[in-house]
Amino acid sequence: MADLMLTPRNAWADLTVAEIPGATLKPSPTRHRVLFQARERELETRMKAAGMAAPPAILRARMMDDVALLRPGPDEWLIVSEAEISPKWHEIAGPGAIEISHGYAGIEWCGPRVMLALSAGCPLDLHESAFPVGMASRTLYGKSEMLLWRQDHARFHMEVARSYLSAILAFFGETARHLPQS
Amino acid sequence: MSGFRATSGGRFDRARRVSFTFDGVAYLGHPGDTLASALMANGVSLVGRSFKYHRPRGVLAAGAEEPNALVTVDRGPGRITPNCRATEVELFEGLVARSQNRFPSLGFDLGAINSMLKPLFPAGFYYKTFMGPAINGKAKFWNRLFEPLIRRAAGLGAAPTEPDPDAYASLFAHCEVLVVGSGEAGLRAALSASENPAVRVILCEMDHDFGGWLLADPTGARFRDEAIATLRTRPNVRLLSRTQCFGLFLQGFVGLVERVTDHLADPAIDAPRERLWQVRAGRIVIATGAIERPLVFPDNDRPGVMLSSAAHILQGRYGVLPGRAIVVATATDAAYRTAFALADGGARIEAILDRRDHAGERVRAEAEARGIRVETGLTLLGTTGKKHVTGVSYAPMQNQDLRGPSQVIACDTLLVSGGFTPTLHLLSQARGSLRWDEPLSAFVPDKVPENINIAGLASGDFPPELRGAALGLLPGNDDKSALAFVDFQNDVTARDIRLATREGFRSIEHVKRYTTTGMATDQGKTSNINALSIAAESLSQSLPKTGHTTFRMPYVPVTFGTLAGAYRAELFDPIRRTPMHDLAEKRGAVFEDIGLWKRAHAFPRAGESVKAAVQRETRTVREHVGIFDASTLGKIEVTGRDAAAFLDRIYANPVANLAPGRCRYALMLNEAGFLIEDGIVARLSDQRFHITTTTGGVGKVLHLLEDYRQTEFIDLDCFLAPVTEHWAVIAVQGPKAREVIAPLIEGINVAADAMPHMTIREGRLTGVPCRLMRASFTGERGFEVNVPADFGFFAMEALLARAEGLGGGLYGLEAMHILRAEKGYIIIGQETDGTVTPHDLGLGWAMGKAPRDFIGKRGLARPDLLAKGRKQLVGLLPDDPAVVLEEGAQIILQHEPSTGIAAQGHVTSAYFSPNLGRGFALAMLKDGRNRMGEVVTIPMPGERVLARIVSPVFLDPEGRALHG
Amino acid sequence: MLLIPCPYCGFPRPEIEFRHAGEAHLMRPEEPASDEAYAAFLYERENPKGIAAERWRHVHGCGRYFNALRDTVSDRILAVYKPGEVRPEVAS
Repeated sequence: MADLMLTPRNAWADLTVAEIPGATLKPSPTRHRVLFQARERELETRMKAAGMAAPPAILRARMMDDVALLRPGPDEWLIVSEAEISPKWHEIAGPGAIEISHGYAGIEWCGPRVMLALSAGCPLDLHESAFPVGMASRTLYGKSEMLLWRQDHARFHMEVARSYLSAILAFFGETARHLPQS
Repeated sequence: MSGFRATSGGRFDRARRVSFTFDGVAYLGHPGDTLASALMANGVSLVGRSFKYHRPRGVLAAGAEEPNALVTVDRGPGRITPNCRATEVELFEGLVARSQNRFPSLGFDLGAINSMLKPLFPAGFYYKTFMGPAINGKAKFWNRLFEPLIRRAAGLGAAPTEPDPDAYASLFAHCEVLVVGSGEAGLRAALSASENPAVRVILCEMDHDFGGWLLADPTGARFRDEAIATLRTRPNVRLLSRTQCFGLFLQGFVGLVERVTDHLADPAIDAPRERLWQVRAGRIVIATGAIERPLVFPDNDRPGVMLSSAAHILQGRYGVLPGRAIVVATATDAAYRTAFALADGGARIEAILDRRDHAGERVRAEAEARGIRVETGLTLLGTTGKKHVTGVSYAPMQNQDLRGPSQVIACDTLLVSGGFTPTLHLLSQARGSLRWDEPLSAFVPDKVPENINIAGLASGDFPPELRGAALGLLPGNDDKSALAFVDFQNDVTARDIRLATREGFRSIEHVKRYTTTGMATDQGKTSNINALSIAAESLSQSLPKTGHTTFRMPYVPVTFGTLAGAYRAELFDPIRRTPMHDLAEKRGAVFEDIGLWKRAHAFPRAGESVKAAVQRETRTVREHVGIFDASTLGKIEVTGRDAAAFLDRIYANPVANLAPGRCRYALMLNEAGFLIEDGIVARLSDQRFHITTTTGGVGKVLHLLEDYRQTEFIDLDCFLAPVTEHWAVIAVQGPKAREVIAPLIEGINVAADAMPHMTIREGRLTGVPCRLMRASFTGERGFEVNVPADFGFFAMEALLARAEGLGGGLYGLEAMHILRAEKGYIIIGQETDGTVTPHDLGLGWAMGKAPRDFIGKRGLARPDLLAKGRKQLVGLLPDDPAVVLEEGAQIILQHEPSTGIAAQGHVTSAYFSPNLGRGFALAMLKDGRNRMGEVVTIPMPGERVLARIVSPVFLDPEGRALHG
Repeated sequence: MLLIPCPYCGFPRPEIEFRHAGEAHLMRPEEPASDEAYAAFLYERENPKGIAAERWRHVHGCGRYFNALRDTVSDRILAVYKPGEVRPEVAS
């Protein structure tokens, strides 16, 4: 049976890019996810001990080395990365590191109309004064929970629980057709 | 003048024409017309029949407040909209509209006989008359006979029966300032707020064009046009026309509905019909203007009787005259202005009848200069005509007495102006308050929430010409048989309101409900003040003391489609599928909804029924091996120094003593001691646990665990992570389970003695990381293979290929249910209902003997939970082995009558078992464990089923199949 | 839809991100507690007209439980505070 190899089939396997003029949703290349849970000061101490900068504040995200560190709550940090997450992060996190790579799917939203498209399902004020670049927060899109990270004025990264991906793309497909002009 | 359309003036597209039909008759109008303006331009004045008396009715008003001209707009199957206000329906090429509440036709309506029977229809008529004789305590006559008849005779339009084919959009929006209404005050507010480009402004207007009254007033047109042009250049301004603000909630939350395509002859195929805007506004400016009130006197509802302001708008905006020979009856100077404008437009003003003794200086002088006959200090006594007004009778007054004989003036139109009411529904919805302003004879804003401003006429800041009022029933009209309408849409008369007060209704809220005044689809926009005034007068109390009824949202009816938005059909709720969904689909799975998940119910083969497939799958697991997608099971990873101590307090079972690599079936109770959840606790290492929950329970469990972690057991250092979706789970169950997995597993010794029942190991499945759990929900030897979700599909395919080589196959949820029930394994929510303890289920053993504290322990010690005679889990075997009991059926003693006695218990699960060769059931039965062998009765419609009480474990009571 | 200021996230967020979690400051009776006292702990609630102390969880946000003082007449949230913190004094 050693000859049998299991091929991965990720959440996007049968799903494709969704777009309307001005807004594109495509699979994020971030494949690896580790959830850190620790009391705030503990993580800071450990990162300092490892010679690293302080972790991001609550509701903020920051690129650190080649991974992104998102902090949706006071005692949790989510690391997302395209490449395998290096063991040093596991060391820092200790027993509170949890591998959740396959439990979520990443969606990249980009284009001048993504803010409007998100507003069909997201109750937060996404104006840059209220949701600036670098902010990351869990909230809702339609009836699906998501973690939204603003990477640029017109670029968002969305993390969604794996089984909600198709519902989110379907909701975008239906609502984006019906957006007003601006 | 052609028809009633003037040759100049107005703000519509005079050059182009559109055709439309009303009640099947074709007419022409112009783009920019409303249905009401186009019908009146064509000389059509009879547009509807009234609710109760089927009285002929014409257009009364000019906007959302219109009570009479309700029409059905027919845009094809599923797109029939009843109760549209003709004053708001925009004309487009091919518009099909119909009048309502008439049979067989609008001109000849059989229902009008109600008008002759009017003494039969006083306030409360239905309550008094149709209670009927009750039969067995039920008002059958009302339900079966009267109500359907009345509903047919007295009604509004009919809703379509087909599904709505249209799409409805929805958006969240945020702004610093929301301005409601685009009249002069609204435009000024929007202009000044949007000067600062950092201030986001939304201006919404219910009409299809911005400007409000300015659209009807040639002198205001320039300001209006410039203001709109300026606002359009500002990127921080969003202008929304055809957008109704229907509800104002706390903290600046506002509901707007935008009509997107209803006005288009040929809407884009993708365009939504309406769009819901859920706006959060820092500040709200209510600039909603004021609504004119009619005068209350006998026969004040004939077609041809119209509000003065509505006629002014009709002429100024649409270039349409309401008639040719016009009488204006008024208590304000504003109506004089209407008369002058109509005279300029070519109409003949027969007379101005002023309720007051003196009109304002300026309008009096102008009337005189124009040679218009003005009579003052009078009352109106009625109108003549049948389907259209032909004259109006009045009499001079001195104080409250008639001063002379009544006189009649012939006319084809009677314009009325009883004063103006600030439109403050939104303020009331936002929990602001109103106060009565006696000089203005109107409710004006009193306490205004700090985030709201009221601007323009809505604030009660009336220019002198809008002041003045004639409230309630005009004097000289005490004849009890006269119909002086107050609420035109619900056919409530002055007499009805007086009757209600005579019958003892003193609260205005009760008067409203008894008479139904203000309860029609227009919510009494034109009628409330007159109704209040009549009630106050007949209660001999002041109007402010009488108070006013509460304005509730929506301001105008809102379609269900708009409120539902995209959330319908496939998008009603997210549909969740497991990583192996496609594999199940390929194998012919029939799915069922479990929470948001699609789960395979069974896998019928070609030509096989679902029932037969379930039976086959159930047998396959017991005889060979079955493969089951268990990915939806909730999974939580619990980590940290105190993870074990935390779980030990959470579960009713001891957990702290669980060795790494071991699993335990565990019960979760609430503080009251009742079982709320079960699952497996697996200890991966000293500080790491993998726990499972039911499919539907994981959200609730995580919520509960976080609650205790964050707020109760704060001394413990541990963390919870939902990992349900990271792991795909394939259950391999049956005597050949080990044979299926063994060749695929790497790094784990799966031999019986190395990996006994209720253990967990970490290793690999053909190279992929795997958490392998030895557990069983079937009673057979079982493994649960957890692999990262990306590998779930191919892992299941590989395991299935192995299983099929050994005579096994897939099984679905229904077979799983039968298998577990044969073993007496419970399902939360099926055997339990929130009032069941572990002891009731025979699971007391799970809590262990050693003294320790856990959630629910104290609750379990409450006397009711320890009492004898509680319902306990038992098995039932129907006498007839072919019978499958109904889940939920009640159980009684063998010789008790079928009805009228208390039940001994109920059936919780019932199936046909191929392994037992008969129907069997689980049940919760009073004192059940002491009643083994007793025969009970399950009464069913038309029969009584006998069943014997047995142990809930039907197969392998020693559990031999689990091991080895 | 209310705006609820989450004390962890630091600014008001829409109500649909939250889940209500019952009355705050319920005290489990000291053991040994009478059955009556325990039943009161389980089932008896204040349900005041006026200021109610209640628990909320920012379930579709930071995930934290916190306490809020809400005026049940005006439906206004007057204060929020973290578990373990003293109930603040507010006027309705």
